[in-house]
Amino acid sequence: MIASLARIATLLIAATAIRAAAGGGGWIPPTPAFQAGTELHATADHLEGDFTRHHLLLVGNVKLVGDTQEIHAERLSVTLDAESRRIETLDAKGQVRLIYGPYTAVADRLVFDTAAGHARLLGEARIWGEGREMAGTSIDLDLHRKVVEVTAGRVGLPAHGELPALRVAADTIVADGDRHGRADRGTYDLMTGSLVLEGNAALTEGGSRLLGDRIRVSLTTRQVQVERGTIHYRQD
Amino acid sequence: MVRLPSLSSVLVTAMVGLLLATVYFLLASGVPTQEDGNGGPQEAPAMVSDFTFTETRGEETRWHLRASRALYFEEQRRVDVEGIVVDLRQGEVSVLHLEATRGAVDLAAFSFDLTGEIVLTDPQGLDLRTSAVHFDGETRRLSGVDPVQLRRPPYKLAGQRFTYELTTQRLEMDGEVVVTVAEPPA
Repeated sequence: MIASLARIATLLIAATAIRAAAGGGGWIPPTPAFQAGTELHATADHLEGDFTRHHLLLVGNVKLVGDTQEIHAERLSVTLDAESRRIETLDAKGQVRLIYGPYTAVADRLVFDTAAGHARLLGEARIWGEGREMAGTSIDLDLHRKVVEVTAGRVGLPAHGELPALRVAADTIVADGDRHGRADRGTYDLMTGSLVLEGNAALTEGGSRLLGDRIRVSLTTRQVQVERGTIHYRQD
Repeated sequence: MVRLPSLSSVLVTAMVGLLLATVYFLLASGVPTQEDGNGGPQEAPAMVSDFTFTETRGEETRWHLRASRALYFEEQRRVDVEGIVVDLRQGEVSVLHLEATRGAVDLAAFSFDLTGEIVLTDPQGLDLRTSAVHFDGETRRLSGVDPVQLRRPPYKLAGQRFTYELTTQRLEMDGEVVVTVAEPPA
C-alpha cells in the first residue's frame, strides 16, 4: 500500500487551500494583474456600453489583452470605478481561457474583483503550466493573501514540487486507482514526503483497511503510523 | 410612462421650421426652374443660406440645427443642408454637439441624416467620428452603419456600426469591435 501511495500523483480533494510562495515563485501560478497603470485592449463581435454606469459588455469572440495576461471568452463584462475610472470588475463567461505567463486557465466563468483582490474560476475550472495542474468546480485566487482554494477537484503535484505543504480541509479524499484515503482534514508535505490524515482517517486498498484518529503516511520511508486506530489486513 | 407630444406642440414645431424655410423660399423666389425627365419644367428647390431648424416639444427645445447652406424640397418636406452644426438638447442643456459636412432634414419625421466628416462631442469628453449618422427625433437615438471611432476617457472604441441612446447614454457597436481601456496613472 505504501508503495502504491508513493505513486499517487493526484490528490482528489473536496476543498483545498494552498498558500502561494512569496513573489509567486512557488507552486501556485501567479495570479493575473489587471491593475492600475495597465492598458487593456479588447476585440469582439459586439459591444454594449453604458457610460452612466461605467460598464462595457463585449459579446462574441471576445479577446482581452493586458500587459501580462490574455482572456478569451464568449462574453466579457467590464465595470470601472466611477471616480478613479480604474477597472473594478471583470466577468468573463463561456469557454473562458486565461493565459498568463506559462500558465493557462480554463473555466466556464471567470470573475475578477480588483478591489477585493480576488479572482474566481467557476465550472470545470482548470489551471495548468510548467507540469503543474489544479482543477475543480471552482478555483479561488486570493491575490492579497496569496492563497488559492480549489473546491471539489484535484491538484496535480509536480515531480519536484516546491510546495511546502498542501493543506486539505473538509472531507479529504485521496485516490489512486482502487486505493483510497479519506479524512476530515489532511496535510501533504512535499518537503518530507508525508501525508497526514486526521479525524476519522481511513486508508483502504482491496480488502485492507486502516482506520484511526490520525494516520501518517511517509512516502519516503514507506511507513504508516496509525494513532488510536485499527488495521484490518487481508492478503489478496 | 412615455408622454407623447401633443399635436399642437408638434405642429408648432413644424411651423417653426416651415416658417424659416418659407421665409428663405420667398427670399429666394426667382430661382431658375429645372427640367424634369420628360422635358417639362420642374420647380427647383429653394436655396437658402444660414438655415436654422429647431424642434420643440411644448416648452422644451429638443434639437437645434444650423447649416451654412440649404436646399428646401417642399413636396418631400426635406431640406438638404451643408456645413451643419447640431445641438441635441435636454431642457436648456446641450447634451450632444454634432458637426457634419452634409445632411438632410426630414421635416415630417423630425429626423435628420448626416454624411461626410461627422464629429460628435459631449460635455463628458465623448468624441465620435464617422461618415454617416441618422438621428431619430422620436426615439432620440443616433445610429450609423459606417466605420466609427469613439473616444471617451478612459475608453477608445472602434467598430463598423453603432447606435447611441441619447437619454440613457447607452452605446451599441457591432462588427470587429476594438476596445482600449487606459487606466489613469496611479
